[in-house]
Amino acid sequence: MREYKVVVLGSGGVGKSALTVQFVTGTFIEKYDPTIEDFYRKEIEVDSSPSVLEILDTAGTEQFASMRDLYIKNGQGFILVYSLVNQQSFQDIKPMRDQIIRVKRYEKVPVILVGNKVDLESEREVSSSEGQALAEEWGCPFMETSAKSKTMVDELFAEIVRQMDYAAQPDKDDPSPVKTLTQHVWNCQLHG
Amino acid sequence: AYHSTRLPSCDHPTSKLRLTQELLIVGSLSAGSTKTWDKGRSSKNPNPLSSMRLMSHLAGAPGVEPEYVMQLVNDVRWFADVLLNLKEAFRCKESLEDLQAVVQERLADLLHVLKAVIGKHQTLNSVDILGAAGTVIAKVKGIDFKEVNPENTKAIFGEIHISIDTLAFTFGNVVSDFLMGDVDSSSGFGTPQTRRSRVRRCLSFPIRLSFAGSPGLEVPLSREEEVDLTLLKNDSGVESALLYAKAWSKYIKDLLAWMEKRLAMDIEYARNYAKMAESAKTLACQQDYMPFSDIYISTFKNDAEYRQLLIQTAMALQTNKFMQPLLARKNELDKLRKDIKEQWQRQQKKMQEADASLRKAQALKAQRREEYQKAHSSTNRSQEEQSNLANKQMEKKRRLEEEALQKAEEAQDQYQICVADADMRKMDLANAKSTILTQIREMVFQCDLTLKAVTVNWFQMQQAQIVSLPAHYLAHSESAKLYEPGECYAEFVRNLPNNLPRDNMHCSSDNTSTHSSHGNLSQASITSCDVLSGDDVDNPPHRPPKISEQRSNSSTDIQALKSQTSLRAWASGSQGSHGGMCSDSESVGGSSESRSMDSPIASPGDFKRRLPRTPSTGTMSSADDLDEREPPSPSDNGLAEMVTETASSPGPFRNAQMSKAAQTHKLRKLRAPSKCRECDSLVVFHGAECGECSLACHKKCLETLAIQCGHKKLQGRLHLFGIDFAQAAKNSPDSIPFIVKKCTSEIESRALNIKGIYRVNGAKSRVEKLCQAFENGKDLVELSEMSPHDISNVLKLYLRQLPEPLILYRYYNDLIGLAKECQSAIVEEADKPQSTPAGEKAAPGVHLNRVIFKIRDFLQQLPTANYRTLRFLIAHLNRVTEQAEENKMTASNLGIIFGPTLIKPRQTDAEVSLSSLVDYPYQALMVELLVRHFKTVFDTSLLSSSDLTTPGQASPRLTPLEKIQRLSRYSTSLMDIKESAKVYKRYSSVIPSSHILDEVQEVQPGTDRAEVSALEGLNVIQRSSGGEFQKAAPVLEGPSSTSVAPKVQLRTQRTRHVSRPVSMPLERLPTPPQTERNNRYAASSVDTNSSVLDPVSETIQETPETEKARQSMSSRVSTYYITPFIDTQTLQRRTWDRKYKHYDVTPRTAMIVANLPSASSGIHTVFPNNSYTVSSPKLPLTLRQPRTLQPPPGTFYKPPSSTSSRPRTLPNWTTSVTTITTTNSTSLLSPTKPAEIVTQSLVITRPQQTRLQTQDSTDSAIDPGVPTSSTISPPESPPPSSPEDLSPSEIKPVYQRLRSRQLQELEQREAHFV
Repeated sequence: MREYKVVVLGSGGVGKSALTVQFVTGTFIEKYDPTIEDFYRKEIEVDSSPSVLEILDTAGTEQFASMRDLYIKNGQGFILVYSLVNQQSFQDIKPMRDQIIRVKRYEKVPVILVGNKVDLESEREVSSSEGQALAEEWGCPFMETSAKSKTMVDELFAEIVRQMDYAAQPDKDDPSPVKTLTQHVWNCQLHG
Repeated sequence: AYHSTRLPSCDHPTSKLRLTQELLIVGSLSAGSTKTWDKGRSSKNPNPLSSMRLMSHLAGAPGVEPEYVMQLVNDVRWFADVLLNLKEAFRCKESLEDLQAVVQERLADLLHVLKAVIGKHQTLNSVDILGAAGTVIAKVKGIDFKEVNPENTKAIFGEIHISIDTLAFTFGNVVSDFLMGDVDSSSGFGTPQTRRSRVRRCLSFPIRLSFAGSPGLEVPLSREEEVDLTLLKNDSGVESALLYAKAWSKYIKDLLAWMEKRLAMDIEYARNYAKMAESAKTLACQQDYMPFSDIYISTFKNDAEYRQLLIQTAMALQTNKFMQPLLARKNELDKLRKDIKEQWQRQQKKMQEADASLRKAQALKAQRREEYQKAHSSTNRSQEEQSNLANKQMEKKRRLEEEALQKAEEAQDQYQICVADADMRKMDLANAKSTILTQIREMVFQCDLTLKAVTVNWFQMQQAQIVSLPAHYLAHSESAKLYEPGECYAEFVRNLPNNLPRDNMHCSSDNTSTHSSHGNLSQASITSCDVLSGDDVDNPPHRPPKISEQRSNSSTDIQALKSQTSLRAWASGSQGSHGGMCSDSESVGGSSESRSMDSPIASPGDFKRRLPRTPSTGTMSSADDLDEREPPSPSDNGLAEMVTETASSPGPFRNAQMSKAAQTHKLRKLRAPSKCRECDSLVVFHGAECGECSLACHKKCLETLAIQCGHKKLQGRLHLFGIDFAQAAKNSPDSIPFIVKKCTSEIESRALNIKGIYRVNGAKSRVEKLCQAFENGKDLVELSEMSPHDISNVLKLYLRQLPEPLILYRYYNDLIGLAKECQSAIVEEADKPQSTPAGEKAAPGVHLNRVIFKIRDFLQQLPTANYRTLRFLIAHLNRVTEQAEENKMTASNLGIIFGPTLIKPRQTDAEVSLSSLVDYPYQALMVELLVRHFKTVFDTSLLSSSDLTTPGQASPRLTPLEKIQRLSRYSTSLMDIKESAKVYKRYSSVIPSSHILDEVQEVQPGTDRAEVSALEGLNVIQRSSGGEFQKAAPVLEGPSSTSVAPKVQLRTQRTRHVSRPVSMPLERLPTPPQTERNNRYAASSVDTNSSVLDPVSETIQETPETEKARQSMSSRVSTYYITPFIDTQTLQRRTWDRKYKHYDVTPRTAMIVANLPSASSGIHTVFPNNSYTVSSPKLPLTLRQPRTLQPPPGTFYKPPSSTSSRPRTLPNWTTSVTTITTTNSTSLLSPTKPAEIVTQSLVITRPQQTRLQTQDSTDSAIDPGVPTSSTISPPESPPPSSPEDLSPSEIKPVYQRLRSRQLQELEQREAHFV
């Protein structure tokens, strides 16, 4: 069974946990608890073949930034989340992608830019066009989701899987040895 | 053509001719062409051609039908002829008889003609003509021809001539009038009136001339008419007029430009003056008893009003009084000019065309005529030559001739037409010209009118403005003359109260000049403030509290003066200026006050003296206008600053956007390149510098500057982040770095309800800037404009970047262990049915409480500064959680956030990820516990007052009721002896190191050794059971495994508590709870006294109680006793207690211990060596006591030679404090020994202690003892080694106890503890 390792990144309070939990359990959690690190596994079907999606829900608050390098190293695909009712979170996300590229030493990492909390349209601070523009700059898909209203959540994870598939194709630069190695390290980290 | 035929021939051809001419002229005038008139006038001897032309012109007279005019002219001629005939008749030298007949005949003719003419032209039917005619008739009829003889011919005929002339003249007038057009009759002559009058005058002039010299009355032409006339004459009249108009326009434009500039300047000027006057007035009003103050105030007021008036006037002038109308006029003029030009040009073009065609026609005509002539002559010739020639030729020739004639005629006609056309054109042109000229003239007239009006207005307004000034000044000068020098000063002095010797003293000196008194008063306040503030200048961190003190002092003093706010301002201002005191954000007002100090307002005349006082002379730079009329101008810069207080400083930064902090600075232009305090880059251009604190920054950075002015030189950039915490704490009086305090206070003040505070990140750039600001400006940073998330980030950043976290590395493992304990405790309690449903806050479970107390005691090991800061921070976070409803930041959330920040393991990079990941939850849990159980963990009453945010000084943490409750709660669970045994281990685990244990072993004789060994054995046992043992020996031992043995710790803490009550009663004046406790203890001691066993059993019973997490209770008790009546005492106790807080000693057990008579013996045994009394290893033994048996009575009892021992011990203490401390520490170790005897002795000692306590309450000698001993111990020793702290605190209690036997006993006991 194929395993996809996805890391959900973003600054504090944007809704990473909510998104992940919404996808995995189908419920929306209201609680406002800063995550340290949460890990979820969900079986999905990709192209009518069963796969496992391993989602690492990370801490957004700054003091855990030192941990990021580690799980960036281990992650395959990245969901960069910002809250579209918080301009600051949108600004904070840019250096995160730089960090990903720096750690991976590779530009074409499967990444999706996500603007969450689209249900709070009235409080919007980041326009769709801004997000779209940034996604274009990065060369990655862009979505606006809402964990609360379940908007685009499933599509989001489907898309990241697709992106990982696409990136993992043999003609791409991603050499499989590295991949298996990261996988190995990932497993060690989580289960060690 | 008919002209030539009509030329009259007469005897007096000249007269006739002239008459005809005149008539002709009249006729020509009817055509209305000035040109023709001019021509007519100018030519005295008109050649036929001109006459012809005149006549031809006549034909094209506009407005009146040409035929009619011609008819009229004909009739006029006819009449003229007849009249002339009549006149000639009288002139003729004929026989008189004939004369009469002729005359009569001619007269009849005349009348006939006249009738006909009048009949035809009704308009000529005027009274004048008839009258004149009547005169002529009469005169002629009246001639008595019989009388006529050559002599009187002339006379008689002269009259007749005259009358005839009159008639002619009248007739001519009437005709000309008619021709010119009456007012009634419609006429196309444009401006008839003027024209007519003009023409009439023109007409009258030659007529008069011709009619034999009746002197031409020169009617003075009006100016306009003259102008128009001249221009009409002038060929280029229109052009000249236009030129003039253009010149006028330009002139007005220049005028307007000047006016505009002048007005603008006036307004600005007036505004500035008004502002200055206003501010000066405001400030002048504040000062009482100043000479001329009311005069000056009124001057300022007037000036302000005057300037306002000026402004108004100028504005009015700008608008509707001057500029606008004039401008409008000018525009009109320009437009008209343009129109007229076009029009004129058009006319001229037409004229030229007509002229051209005329010429062409003329030429044609001439040509045709010539042809005709030729044909005619040829015909004639041929006719002559060949009289009998064939008719054909003749006919042909004749035909030719006829043709030629026809053609000639045609040409002639055409020519006529052209001529007529040209004439028309000419007339058009002339009309147009005159119209234009009129228009121009009128326009110019209008413009002049406007200009006149506005000019007059302006001057009137000016006059109105200034009119009031002289009187005002005069009045003021008069009243100023009346003032007696020194009057005001005297008045001021009179109003002083008598109870301020200081001020009075200073004020006494110079009375003569108000100015110097002014200076003296300020001097007085300065010196007074200097006295108070002298010692503070050197100690910046202490400034804030003391300044407020000072200011209040001086202000109360000055208030007592019951006079002038000015003085108050001076004093505080002088403080500000001298001490640079106003550094806090609270004292921004003070800074402004200092301005007032520096720029006194109404001192007359001596501005130069004022200037040096101002610290930043830069603001009073160039425009020091010492104009007498505006006295406050030099100070106005500063005044304006102060008065507005929100306005930016004058000079270069008037328009700069400034943050609140930036406004507190006195900014001036940066002179030398320096580093910008806001953005940390170099600033060379557009820089601002504060004159007081020499803070430099970019002009742009003023908007975001966060550093306020501290009114003294700003420190260089500190290193704040990443600096060792101990260092940072040193700079602060309460060991809490200012950055922590500032950030937390700011957040508490306004951000407690912000969702996600501390979780959400702030803007990175802003956060960085704020960090920089803190480094540059230290505690002067103004935070009120910062986003709370930024501030929270800075705080977190600071804590994260400490080289060693607040909880030092060496405590990491233990703390994590404690956290794990907690976790299990929580899990336990969660499983239990009776777990508190209300949540952990309400009533933490027993186990949890135990752990919490452990944590508390553990934390006490932290360095003071760390502990205090931690406590401060946790208190703040606790307050944040109080608003968790709004901000969603519960204790657990905050724990997650702050966990890794506060609790970090020492790690190399390799370890980072793994251990962090694993430990994060525990770190979070720990912090969560700290926050949630803040009150429990950080016993606020344990600490000195200055540290406390809450006033925990007076009352103990628990009321007696609470204590009882706790007691009852804990009494349910029993601890078995095994557990009690474990306490030893716990105790040992708390004790620093094993080598101290050895020392203890050395010290203790005999039984103690056994105890020690037993203890050691237990140690070993325990070691196997759990690393908690080792873990609990944190300080000197290395980090150990993280396994937890809760019970061990429990024991340890309990044993610690045992010791406490021993010391406490002696040092404390009994508080009611204490007394109560004392009573209780006394009661129990009584009980114990009654029977030996009972106390033992009681103790046994007690032990379980104490075994339980009674450490909480006892800690309560201990805190109970530690009401800091004397701060030093508290400190002593605290430091002492901190080391011993894990001794679970309840007062009850203590009492019981003390009451045991066997204790004394135990004590005896214990104190063989005085040198070791203090360092008695019996201490641990005492802890054991409650659990098992009573200790030997003399265990902790000092022998009766205590009095001698006291001096012995004293020197020991004083001289060898260090040794004592080490021995103290060893005694700490000793509690690990599970010697029953020891515990018994402890039990024994307790009651004794309490007894002593009661005694002590009466003994006032205790108290003096305390301070003396306290002086021995430094209250706040930096990173304390626990032993060291023990000794000073130990000394104190021990000292006291030596007073009496019981005291001695207690002392011994204390010493054991030590």
